[in-house]
Amino acid sequence: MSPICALIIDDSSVMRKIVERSLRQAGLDISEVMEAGNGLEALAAIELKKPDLILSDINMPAMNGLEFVKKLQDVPGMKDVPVVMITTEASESHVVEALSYGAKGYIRKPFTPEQVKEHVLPLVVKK
Amino acid sequence: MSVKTAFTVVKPNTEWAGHVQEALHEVFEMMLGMQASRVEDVVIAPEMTAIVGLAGSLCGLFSIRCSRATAVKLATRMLGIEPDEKAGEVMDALGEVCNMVAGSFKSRIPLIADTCMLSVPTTISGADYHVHPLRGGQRYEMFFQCEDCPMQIILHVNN
Repeated sequence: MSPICALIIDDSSVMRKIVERSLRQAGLDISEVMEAGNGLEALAAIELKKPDLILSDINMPAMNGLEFVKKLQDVPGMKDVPVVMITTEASESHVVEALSYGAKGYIRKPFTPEQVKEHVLPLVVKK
Repeated sequence: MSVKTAFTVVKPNTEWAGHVQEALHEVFEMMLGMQASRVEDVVIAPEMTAIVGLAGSLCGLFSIRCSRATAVKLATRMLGIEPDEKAGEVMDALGEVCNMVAGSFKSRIPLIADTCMLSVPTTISGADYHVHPLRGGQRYEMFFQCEDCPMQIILHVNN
């Protein structure tokens, strides 16, 4: 597996650090981490560089994670980039909505590095 | 004109205190590697408070209050390194803990799991304030001790 660029979207800088640490603990070879505090910032970030993997919170100001993943489908070249939602909002309706918009996985907070590995690694290896 | 809601407004019951306790245990064990025990009463210097609002089938607020030292310790355990206090990481971490505990709590109650929304967390520094939720409602107040870190959890339900 070649090194990957991950985009982590969460309005909490602490949570972005924890997600990054969990990705590394999961054994992913990460060459670069891009960060965004909400969906709008994330859309701006991917204009500058296309990530290989996106992990997004749902409950964020300005543009939430569900709106982001929906809009992402309209961005040229981004349909093949796997998006995994990491959120406290793990209700069935949110899961169904996120998956219908194109998300490839769903991790509920709180989470362990093992859960991150289980959900994220297959998506990266598959690419 | 009548307005129909798409959810059933739920009333709290005595089992909810247990759900709060289970939620706290889950978050502390998975994200901080710490065990939290419920205690009857404990002295807290409530220098920091994190609040998450609840809306929909359950309206109210969920808050965690603790001393600055406790908040720093929780942030350190979450991050695995000393938090950058100037960057607001201590407040941010406490807000995230509150958010996850509130989320875990509501996921344990099928009637509200899908129909109660959480706000983004807000944190307050300083102890000289009062919270005035709408009149009535129910207030659950619990104290926990986590290693040498005491904290108070308040669930105020307006339903």
